[in-house]
Amino acid sequence: MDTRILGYAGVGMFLGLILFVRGFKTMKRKKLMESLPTSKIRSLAVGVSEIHGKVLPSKSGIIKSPFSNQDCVCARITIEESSRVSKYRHWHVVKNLVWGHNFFLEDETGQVLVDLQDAELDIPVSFEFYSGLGTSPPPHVVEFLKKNNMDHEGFLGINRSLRYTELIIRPRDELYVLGRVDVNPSVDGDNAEHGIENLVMQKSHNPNIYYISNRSEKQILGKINFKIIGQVVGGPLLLGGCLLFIALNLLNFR
Amino acid sequence: MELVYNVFLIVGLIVLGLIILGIVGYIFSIYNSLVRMRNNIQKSWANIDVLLKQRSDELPKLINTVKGYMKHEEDVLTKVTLARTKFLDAQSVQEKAASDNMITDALKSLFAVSESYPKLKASENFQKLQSRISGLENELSDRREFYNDSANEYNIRIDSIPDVFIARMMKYTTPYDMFKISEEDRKDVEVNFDK
Repeated sequence: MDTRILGYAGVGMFLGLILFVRGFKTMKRKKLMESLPTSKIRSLAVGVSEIHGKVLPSKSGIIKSPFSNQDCVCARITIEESSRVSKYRHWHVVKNLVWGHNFFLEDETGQVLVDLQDAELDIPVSFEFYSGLGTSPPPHVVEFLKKNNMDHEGFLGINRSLRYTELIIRPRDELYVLGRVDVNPSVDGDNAEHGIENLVMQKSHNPNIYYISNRSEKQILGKINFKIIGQVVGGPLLLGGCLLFIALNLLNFR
Repeated sequence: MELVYNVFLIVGLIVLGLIILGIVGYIFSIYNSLVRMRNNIQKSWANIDVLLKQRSDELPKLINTVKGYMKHEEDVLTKVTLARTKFLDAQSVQEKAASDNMITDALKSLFAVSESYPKLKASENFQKLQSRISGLENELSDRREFYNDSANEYNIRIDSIPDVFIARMMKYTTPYDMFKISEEDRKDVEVNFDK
């Protein structure tokens, strides 16, 4: 009896269960998006809201993204390191930075400040690079790492197996944002420019959601439907199939 | 053979158990989302109420500003005052919605009549109040739309399969009324270019 194959089947069972449980989380998100109408920015009220609009730079202006050197209002950098557990390659996050925090989102009625911190970004990757043995990161990436007290080299100066990913938000990008509108704590309410600075869109903790995407709500819901089918139907099928495989193999072994 | 059959049976039962769990979870999610929608509708109405109160608080300042200029327009000013009184006395959602329509109509008349008083129009105080009330009217109109969207979504859900079954068990069968425009606003506007 090949114990490796049984091991894979065991992992498959575990994954099937996780998929199934995650399916409910995805269903919950879908119900929230479907039941919440899109708000006009001019009349936003404190609480969970869904808005749609174009990106405008905040007072910090337009910055250059650290990896791809493109104009943006903010960027999220993720650096992951590869490690091996038996035969499996696994990426774990070493550094997660947000470059530039805030931007304005504008629709036909007004603008609101959006804080990118802790947001789940569903936008295309603007830069992805793998470094490792014989492959060094580009010079500007090395410079960025040095400025942030990071080293791409490991033991004996050999390049670490790292994955560099960058997601950027550009001016005039059309975004869908689902999160919580709150009073902006860093601005004096009396002096804040009403309708622009006095409120900020940020992460909601109850329900636990903060989602930013460059797709429309219809496209997002379509994608979620496929995901739910894959998780809620695929999860039990994977679990059942792997369990059956293990059981039959154990029987044969007997 | 019997052992193989038993293995298939056990695995089948586990998968069936998960499917039943999935169905139960789906029912719970429908229940929770209906509860959330009802609360969201009540919240969106409360958010309209906040703006109605703000608008109502501006009206005494507006009346004080204009009455010195519009001495012969008592009817218009009385209409605004009466509409405000009706709003302050309103208890139910329907009463507040009705008084909201009355205030909107009264303000339209007042601002239309104010066009004939250039000194009033030039007054900084009046311009600020007019701008503030117009801003509130715009926000109110957005929030009414939001309320209608929320109510419409809920009304569709409690009548659609499969939510209708859960809604009936929860006795969530009464649809929410939507904001409607007043009869005055439904009338055609006569435009006369002859003068």
